[in-house]
Amino acid sequence: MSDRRDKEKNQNKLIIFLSIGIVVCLAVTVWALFFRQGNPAIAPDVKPDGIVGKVTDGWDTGLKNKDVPALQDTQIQIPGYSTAVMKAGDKSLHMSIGNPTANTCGFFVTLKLADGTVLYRSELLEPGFGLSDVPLEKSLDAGEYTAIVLFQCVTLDESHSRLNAAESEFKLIVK
Amino acid sequence: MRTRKNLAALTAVVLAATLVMPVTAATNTITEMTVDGNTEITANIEDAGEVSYIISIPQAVSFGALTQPDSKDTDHYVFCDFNVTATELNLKSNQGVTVYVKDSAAPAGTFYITQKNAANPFSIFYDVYDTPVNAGNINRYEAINDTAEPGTYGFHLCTFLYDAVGKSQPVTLALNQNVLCDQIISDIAGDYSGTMVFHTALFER
Repeated sequence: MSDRRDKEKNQNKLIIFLSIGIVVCLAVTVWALFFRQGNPAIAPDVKPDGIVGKVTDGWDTGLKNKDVPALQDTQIQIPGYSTAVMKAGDKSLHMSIGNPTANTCGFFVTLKLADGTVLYRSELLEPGFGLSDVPLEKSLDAGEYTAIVLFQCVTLDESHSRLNAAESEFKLIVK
Repeated sequence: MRTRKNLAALTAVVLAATLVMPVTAATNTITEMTVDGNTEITANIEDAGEVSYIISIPQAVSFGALTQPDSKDTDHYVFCDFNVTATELNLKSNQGVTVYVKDSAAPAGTFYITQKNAANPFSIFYDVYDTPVNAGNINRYEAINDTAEPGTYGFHLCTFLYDAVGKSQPVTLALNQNVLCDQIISDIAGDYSGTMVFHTALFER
């Protein structure tokens, strides 16, 4: 009699533990399904915020040509682009914009459409600084646009005196 | 017996609930990979958003110290030489980069350096040549700003094909100091500066 009661007690304890386990599992499942935050950079439904436009050092052109001629102090290396792609309505553009480490000047970068519509203006980018996801001031409708990255080059001293400038034209495809 | 049935049912529910977890995670992972993967495929095909080439341009336009000539009987040129270089090109065999140039501030089709820190700044016109010129041969060449009408992005300076890595386009700026002859030197003395805008665009043949 006592054994049976003990057995029932143990079974009740097991049921309680299992019940708690179920509740925990269900709670985690509900959280995972409805409340978990994905990576904002790649989750399709999350609108990017300022963090994606963060300028970081260690920016690199990504080009691996080993036969690059030595840069003269009096020259400026300007990155050029062929195409960039984004989704209609997005306010972030994946684009590698920065100041090559070989340069001895600063960049103020403006991303704009050929009609003059400004999409992004950077802070001062010193050599080696850049960003790979550009926060846009406005979203675009689907279509193909001629866009321009304007590099306004300045000295790195306090005066930030203007140097020559450059524009890289590219095709912006909005899907 | 009833307790055992309950236990079995509970165990089944627990197992089912536990199995939901990796499925949920996998679903999210696939979604993320699909979105990110599409972008990467596009990037791999067209290098979308990546740097495709590097063009090197001069930092500044500098003619050094200018002097007022005694007469305009002969030309009194000063020159500024530089190169525009295709430093890196990651292009397809049917692609190239074309380079245009214009003044950053002057009216279309003209190039000037302008007096700094002056109430009524004096501007001095100069020409742009897409070849090395000097006082001895300048009359054999025409400046690019004299031979064609400027487009939206200025004058065509040069074109680099996909295999032109390391090649340079020599450029000479020529300023004839004769324009200073009729000026009052105290009015035009001082520092001058001007900046150019180099426009690059990729093209396909």
